[in-house]
Amino acid sequence: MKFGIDLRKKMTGADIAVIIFQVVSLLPAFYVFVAPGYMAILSKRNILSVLFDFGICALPRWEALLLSFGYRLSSSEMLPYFFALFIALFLGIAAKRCLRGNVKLSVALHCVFSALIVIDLIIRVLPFGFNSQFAFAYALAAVAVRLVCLLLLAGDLIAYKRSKNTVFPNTQ
Amino acid sequence: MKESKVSMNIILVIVIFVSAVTFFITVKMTDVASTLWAVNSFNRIGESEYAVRYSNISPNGIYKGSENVNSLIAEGNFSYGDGVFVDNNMLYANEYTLTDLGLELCSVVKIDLETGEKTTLFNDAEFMGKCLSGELVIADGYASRLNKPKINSLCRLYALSGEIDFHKQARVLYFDAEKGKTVFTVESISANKKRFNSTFVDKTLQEVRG
Repeated sequence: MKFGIDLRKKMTGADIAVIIFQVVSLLPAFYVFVAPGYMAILSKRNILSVLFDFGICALPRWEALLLSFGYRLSSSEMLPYFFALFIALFLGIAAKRCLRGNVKLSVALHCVFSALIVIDLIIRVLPFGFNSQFAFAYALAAVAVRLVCLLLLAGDLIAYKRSKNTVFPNTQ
Repeated sequence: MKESKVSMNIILVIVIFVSAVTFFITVKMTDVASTLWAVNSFNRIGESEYAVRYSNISPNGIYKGSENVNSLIAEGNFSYGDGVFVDNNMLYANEYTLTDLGLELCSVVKIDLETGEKTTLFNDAEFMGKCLSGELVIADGYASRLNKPKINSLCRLYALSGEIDFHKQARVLYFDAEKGKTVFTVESISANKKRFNSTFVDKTLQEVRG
């Protein structure tokens, strides 16, 4: 019995990038999950608030803003909480279906996600404190997470090119 | 040895299910517990016939009349004391909104006392009082002081899509109720500035300008 992700499945860079995104989506959840039973958590710095800040910063910019808009509109923490988890779940299921089988679709998705990460990096890096409420350290860590995901996706595409456009990792 | 395939997707499904059950219990329990003790506070606004009611028996809001015989003008959690001002059938006050986890959000609203129509003048701002020359003093650009935005992560998430910028600090607006516009702005003050009243409220606009 082995709990967890089996690395021997030879996951592609995209698989790992999706898992990184899903883990990052889970990080803010702990803070909100604990808060109703222990309200004092909201008024002092602790490891859960650090995870929350890092998770929100590491999420794609559009998603973090959507969470914030949802929070403002609903005045409820539950909406962004479940929204973030459902997006992570949706992406995980979609990746499982679309990244395997159809080579063209998989390559196209790699390109689209790479482009989205590049745009996100440009928005975040150029004006470094752009509309950010979070500390510089979290912004820096968020850039690192994006770079790792970008490198993983680029690695897949490079492997595909090297195989003379015939075999795409993990599509057999 | 048989290996199970526990993926992140399954972990997420479990987290979503457990969260839904847990939140239902904890948040609902808090709601129920808050109604166990009756609260009914009726705070008259100055010398006027209007009052602000906080209650878990009848709706919170602005009421016209006495404590026993009254009519609801506008529903909501409004400020009283220095944080409310009545002028020509118009009431200016802070409206507080509490989130599920108790984050207090504050906006400055204008209420027509004849029709009950409520207009939001400034989001994420707090009406601090009237200065000596009659303008309304509004601290704009920060969430309620109770939230301690430098500490509370939820406050930062809330502010991400708004005009609050904790790095640029808040500003003070002098709002002329008759003209319906801001006549003077003091930029970049500390959000938790001590002696706010003696610096911005207990003076005339000319003194602040000078």
